[in-house]
Amino acid sequence: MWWSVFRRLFKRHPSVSSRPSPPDEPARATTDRGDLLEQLELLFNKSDDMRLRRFQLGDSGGRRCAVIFFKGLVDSDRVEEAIVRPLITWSYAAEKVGGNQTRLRDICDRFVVASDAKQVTNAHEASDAVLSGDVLFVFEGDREGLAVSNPGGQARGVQDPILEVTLRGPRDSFTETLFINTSLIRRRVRDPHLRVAIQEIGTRSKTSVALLYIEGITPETLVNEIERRLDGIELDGVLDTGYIEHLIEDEWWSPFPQHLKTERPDKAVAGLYEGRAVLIADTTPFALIMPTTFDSYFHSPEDSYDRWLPVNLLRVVRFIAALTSLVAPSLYVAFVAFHPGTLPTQFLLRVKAAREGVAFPILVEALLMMFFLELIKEAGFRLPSPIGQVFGIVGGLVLSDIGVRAGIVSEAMVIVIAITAISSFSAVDREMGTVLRLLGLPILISTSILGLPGLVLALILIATHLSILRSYGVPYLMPYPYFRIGDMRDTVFAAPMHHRQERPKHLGAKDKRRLRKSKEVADSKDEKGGSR
Amino acid sequence: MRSKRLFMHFTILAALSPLLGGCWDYVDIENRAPVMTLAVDFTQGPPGGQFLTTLEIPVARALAEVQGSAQQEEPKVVIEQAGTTLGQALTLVNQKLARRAVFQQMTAILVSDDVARKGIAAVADHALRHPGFNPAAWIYVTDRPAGAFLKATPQFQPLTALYLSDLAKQFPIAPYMARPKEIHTFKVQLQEGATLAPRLTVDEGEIRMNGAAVFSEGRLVGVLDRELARGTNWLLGDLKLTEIAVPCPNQPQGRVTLLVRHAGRSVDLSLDTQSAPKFRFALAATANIIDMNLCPIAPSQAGTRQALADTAAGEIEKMVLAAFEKAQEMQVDYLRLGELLRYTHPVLWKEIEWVKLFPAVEAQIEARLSILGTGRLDQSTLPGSDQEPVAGFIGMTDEVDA
Amino acid sequence: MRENDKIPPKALAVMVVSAIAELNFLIAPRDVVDAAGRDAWLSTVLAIVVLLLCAGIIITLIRRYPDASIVEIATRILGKPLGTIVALSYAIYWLARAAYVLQAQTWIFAQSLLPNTPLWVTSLYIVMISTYTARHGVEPMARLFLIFIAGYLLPLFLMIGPSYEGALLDRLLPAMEDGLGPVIKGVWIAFSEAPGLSILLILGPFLTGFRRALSSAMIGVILVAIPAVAVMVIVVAQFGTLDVVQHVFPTLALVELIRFPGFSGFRVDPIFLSVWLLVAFTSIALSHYAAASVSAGLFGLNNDKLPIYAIAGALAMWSLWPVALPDLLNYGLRVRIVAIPVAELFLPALLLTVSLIRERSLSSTSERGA
Repeated sequence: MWWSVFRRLFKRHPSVSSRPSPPDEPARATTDRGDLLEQLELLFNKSDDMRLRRFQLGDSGGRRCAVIFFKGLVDSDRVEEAIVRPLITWSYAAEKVGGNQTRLRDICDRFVVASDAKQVTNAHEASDAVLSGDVLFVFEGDREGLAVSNPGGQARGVQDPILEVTLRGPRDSFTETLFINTSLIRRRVRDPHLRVAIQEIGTRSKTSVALLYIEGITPETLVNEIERRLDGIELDGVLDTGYIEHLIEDEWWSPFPQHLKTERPDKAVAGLYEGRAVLIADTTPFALIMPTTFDSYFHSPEDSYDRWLPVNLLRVVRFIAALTSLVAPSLYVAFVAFHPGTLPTQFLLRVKAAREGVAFPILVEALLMMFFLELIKEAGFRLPSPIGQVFGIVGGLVLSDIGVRAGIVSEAMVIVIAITAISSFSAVDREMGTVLRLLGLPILISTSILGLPGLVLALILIATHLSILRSYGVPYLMPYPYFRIGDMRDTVFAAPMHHRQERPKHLGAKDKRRLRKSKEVADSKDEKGGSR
Repeated sequence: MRSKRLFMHFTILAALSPLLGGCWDYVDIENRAPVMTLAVDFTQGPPGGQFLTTLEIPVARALAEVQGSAQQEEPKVVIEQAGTTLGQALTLVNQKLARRAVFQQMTAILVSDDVARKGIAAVADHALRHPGFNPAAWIYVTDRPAGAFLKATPQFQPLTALYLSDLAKQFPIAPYMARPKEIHTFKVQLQEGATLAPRLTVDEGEIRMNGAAVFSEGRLVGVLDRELARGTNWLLGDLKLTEIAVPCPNQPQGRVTLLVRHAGRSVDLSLDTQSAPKFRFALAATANIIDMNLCPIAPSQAGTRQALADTAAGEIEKMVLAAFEKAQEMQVDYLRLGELLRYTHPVLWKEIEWVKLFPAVEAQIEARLSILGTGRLDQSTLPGSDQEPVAGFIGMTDEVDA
Repeated sequence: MRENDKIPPKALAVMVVSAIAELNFLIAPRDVVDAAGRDAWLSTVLAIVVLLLCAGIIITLIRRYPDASIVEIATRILGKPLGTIVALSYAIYWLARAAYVLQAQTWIFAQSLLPNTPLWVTSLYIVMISTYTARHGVEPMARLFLIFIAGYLLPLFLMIGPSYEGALLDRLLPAMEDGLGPVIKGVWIAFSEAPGLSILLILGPFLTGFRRALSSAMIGVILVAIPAVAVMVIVVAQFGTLDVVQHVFPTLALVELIRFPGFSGFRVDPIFLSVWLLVAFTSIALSHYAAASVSAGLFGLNNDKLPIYAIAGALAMWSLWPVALPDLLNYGLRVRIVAIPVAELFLPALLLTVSLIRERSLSSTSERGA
């Protein structure tokens, strides 16, 4: 793995994404023409959650038929109500009249009480339909069937976001059901130009993945590129958008995430309005927003809801926090172990006093504390939340206090690591926070070799990497280069809404304008008022 | 192709791997001994003529435990080391220390009188040449062996270095010493002719900063006392705030003390007909009355204040002139008047020999003082002020009467 | 989707600052004061004027051959053999420049921050990162160096303010005491301390256009000029000419004197030196890239990957050549005062003149033909 990371380090134009070799073909229903019911029985014979209900249409001489579905995926009550009952009732009535309609088309058109039904012509289609939660109606010995959509089964409702907590702003969050998620977005974009392109990814999981974009804003090149990359995926199962993310990102070896993940529909929609595209997968409560820039990991949707002046303060704090979580332990090591001359005298003496009697060198101390931090954090996550919180506090306090008393670490190091932890947790994006904290490790090692110059060199390396990195062709560090004033209005600094009239240029949105100047609006209102 | 590439990467990695081999300059802070003060003396007796350096090194643990710990550890370690040069002595000192001595935190260099008289170059050169040395350390001249100053524990602070820093910070409100300066600045000024350094003395068992040591041609040539140092500071434009006591205009035993603020000076240079330079110092300041003992005048009246201000200006002129004459007497131009002549009259400067000209150069000193405030009182009415209260006073005394 | 490797003309300002500013901010005051005395600041101002002239010549030259690399420009103007020699000498010049900055940088670290660390550690580390940076072409480099401009301006601003305390401007007076001679000599030295503008010669094909390219390059020069003059003024005003010429790194001595009220013992020079590494690094990486790019052109390679590794190797070896710091600085000065005026001013001027003359003769022959 490291070889290949290293190789890519010096590779000029890395390929879009490396694709996995195609898996061995899964057991699939053949497309042979034959008795559909028999084929399906054979295909699913070991699936005990499959339900097959055979019944006869009419008294005697009526054709035998069956409905097939998976329990749990389908609302069983509604199967009776919508399919079985109408058919049986009708077949008796029809027998009395003397007709015996057995053509699927007629049944579909006249008797099936469902909003969505389609004809399937082979076992492959039929099995796909059944697996995706349809109810299949077939005549015995027939080669065709009727797939009736009968959504049901268990799904979580829309709840509060868990990771991206908000003080102000909508409280709904994505769920595991694709169409609930698209509906959450559609409610916010009542624009016929919102496109939802659904495709199935995963040779075995057949997960529905929806690509959302607003035609007329999102550049076509972006949509084409995403579709090209999605088409390149041949994976057995997609359990989360994370799978897709890893396969379509620009540089898989980069530590930096290149897609923005969110569980908040408002954040996804904000991305859509900026000219980005959103990817939603069934069974995943996280949407991917792309392309992504480094900056966007430090933006919260709340920033646009709150007043702009305090938001500016918060953003500056976030960026400083990001930098702190990256370099705090390294800075401490550099100053204390390499350049004690830089420390104010009184502070130097304090640190020196604290260090007296500590068993380990500062570097080992720093590594130990960073390990403790990850340990406490990880354990806190894994434990049930009430215990987790208590554990975090107790673990942190006890470990640091006893650590200091036992001479394993010094007080100053506890403070430094605590600041690092708090800083990294204050990042808006959890993943970016973790990445920054972990990147602190190579920086720390570089610092322990060369002191402050080593720290700067490591930062140069990271900055170089960031400036090389692109997300779907958009440089990761946009919009900072060359100070395009228009794009700088929503970066470290957030301009008031009045001044954010245009979409960010670097995203290449087709419709550039998003707000008319307030003066124009006021003028037009004045005119209206005057005419009245 | 692939194996070739692999080979290349392997070579690069192999070349880089020694990077991980060592942390050459990594020294844990508890293994360092930050030297806070350096005192330079000559060794007594044989082997004579060597430098004797005394270092003050804080004991961090003891300093941290100062608050409320039972057993008091000595807050500092004082170490002596002799050497033929400063560089040698300060390197040799490591053999007496269990820690690595570092000089980056050093805030003060104390040079004894005899070392300074022999020549300051030995100290200045080492301080500015050695990369680990702090060239921003302040330089002081002591009136007795410098090492003794480190052995005593001064008031308020456990370390002489910190105590001296605090004292030096007092300069703006107690300008009775030469302005403390970094060794680098000191050397720069000395190269240009002459300069001053604050003097350390011991008074009532405490270290005091008093007066100035005058350096010229690389060595100590004389000493200024407190009053002369103050006058010199005014001449140099370093003085911003001071106090001055003048006799009461119509009451000989009375004294008025003025707090002089915003002191400033400007120097004009003119050439007379024989193209001899003549300097005119214009001193200006504002003042507040802070004490008027046994002086029953009403300073709220403009005329009274003017009279007082004129008296005070006269006192200032006397004080400053004395300082100027002292410089002429010592034949050392630490007032940087030669520099003024150099850049205003470059042609003349090349013709004359300033060192010989300076003692006879003429100076005119004009002080202008405006008294802006009388303090919270106007005229004092308490008994002891010998005079009956005069009608027409204002201020708090009204309320007292009522 | 991928944007091609092009930079807007605006980025030229960044490139110019990155190319010019390096350790000359630390070393140059001594040499210039040595030559021009109190008038060092005047010499610097005049040298900046020459530098602006250079920028004008180079931009005019590359504008005439918008998509041509320096190899193509030189061969088209001077013919194949002469052009190749010119291009080759530029490659060597840039390589030497990168190696000089690299070696001086490692020496400065060894002198003041990392006395026990072997020189080659710092040196190889920087070469490695420079290779990584140069490997990805001009466009990411331009964006990266824009960030580093902050690392250039911020320490300067932080330094210039506090270090002014105690400075006496009368140390700069009187101006031109010894006539114009020392000033002119100072201009020559000051100009020789500011190489790097010639790197613009390879940037022609990477520009999206030439609109305001010249003004952008000039802004870059000004961005270097103002701090350079300020540093020169303050160094002399603080230390006087006598002292400045004694110091190996006068600007560093200035930084060492900075005190922040309320922070006793807080010294900024290690921080300053470390941040200044950004500035030196941009020059190394740019020169590295420029040398590699010319080599690629010379050997007719369509990819500069191999030259970049080759130059990295040469750079590493060159910088590991054991030279004592004073020798490095003295040789450096002796070579620079010849090489830099030639490479930055005379060669581009020559190329431009020949190009103009050829065009005129061409047009006159075509007129005659018509």
